[in-house]
Amino acid sequence: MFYNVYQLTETISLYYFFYLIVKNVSIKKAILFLSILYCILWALSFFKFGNKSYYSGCTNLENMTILALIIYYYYEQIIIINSAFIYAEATFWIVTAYFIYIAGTFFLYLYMPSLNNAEQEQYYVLNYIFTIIRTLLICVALFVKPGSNKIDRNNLI
Amino acid sequence: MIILITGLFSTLLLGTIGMLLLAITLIVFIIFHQRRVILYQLKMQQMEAEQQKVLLRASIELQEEERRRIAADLHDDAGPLLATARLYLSENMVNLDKPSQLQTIFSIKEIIDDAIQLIRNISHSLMPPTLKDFGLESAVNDFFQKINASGSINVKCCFNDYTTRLKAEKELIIFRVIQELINNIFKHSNSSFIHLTEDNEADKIIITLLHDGKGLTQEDFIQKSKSSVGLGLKNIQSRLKVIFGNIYFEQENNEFYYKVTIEVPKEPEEK
Repeated sequence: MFYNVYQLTETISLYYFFYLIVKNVSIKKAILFLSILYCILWALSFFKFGNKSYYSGCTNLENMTILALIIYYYYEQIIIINSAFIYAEATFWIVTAYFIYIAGTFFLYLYMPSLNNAEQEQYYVLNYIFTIIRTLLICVALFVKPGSNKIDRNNLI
Repeated sequence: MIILITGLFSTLLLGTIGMLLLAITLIVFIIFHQRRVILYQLKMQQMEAEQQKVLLRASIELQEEERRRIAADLHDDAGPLLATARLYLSENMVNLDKPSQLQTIFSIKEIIDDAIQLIRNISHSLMPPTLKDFGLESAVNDFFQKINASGSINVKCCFNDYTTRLKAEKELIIFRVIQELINNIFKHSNSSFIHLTEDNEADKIIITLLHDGKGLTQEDFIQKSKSSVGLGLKNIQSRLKVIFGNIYFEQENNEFYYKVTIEVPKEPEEK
């Protein structure tokens, strides 16, 4: 039960995070729609499987949509020229942290429903490894000073 | 079962490694691409800033040259004239006989008239009264008449449908640009004739200068405006930049004439 509630909170927080950093209004609307869809799916899973089961449908939806949003974020970074290098922004490190985590655990979560408990225990170590990597990358984001490495174009003239 | 686990393990491992490699490649690509774009932009902005500096320097130099010329005119011409007038007045005129007094007064009047004319000339060179009162067409006509009167070169101008005057500061800038171009043609091209035409379009006016001397092409112009020489050309460029105008240098297809085209956009009230 605890994990499922954590997953719901994490996913909604991530959607909100992407809602804040993405600049395209249509994508923002899509994020709102996704949040509602995710909540509905989570509620359906809760009523269907109860509180002792693992909601693989929700996990897959979360992974797919967050991955798509991450790729869209990177695309925006390419087409919209910023005044600072991308790695000087905290958001980049947070997004990268989740990107590495999702990429690393993508196959694990994909196969999870077909594994028995012993196998799940055996392979769940992958999740621990990528959680540590994700946490380390988020720590990097905390140490990035906002506005550092900003290119002051006014000083050029 | 072992085979199944091994198969599952290898799929999981390979899939995870594949996804990770893909993710890392994407991140590295984005970092380097964004870095390269920013650095390129930075370089372009620096180049633009450099160009601005060159134009500004040219403009300041030209201003200084103009000041030196006015100072020289005042010092070398007006100064001696007024000093001579003062000298006449310093003489003991009271003790002179009447005819000498009249002669002295007449001389002083002549000197003062010369000084007035000189100051008027300086003033006119700063701001031609014809331009201010009657507009660009009259000012250019007036300017060309003076050149024709010298007899050294044949110049002709033709304004087509210049009914609505441009703003005064815009007219002055265009006039100065024409003056500078004519001056350059005199100095460097060895032309026998210059033909200026003005065409009115809906959103811009086009001034074309055609001459038969040695002229510039657009490549020469770009090269000169980037180098430290060609103060006049840089000045033309900086003046036109103020009114968002463009200038093009080209050689006619027959390779006998050179053409300079100035395009100046009109503002809504000038249309």
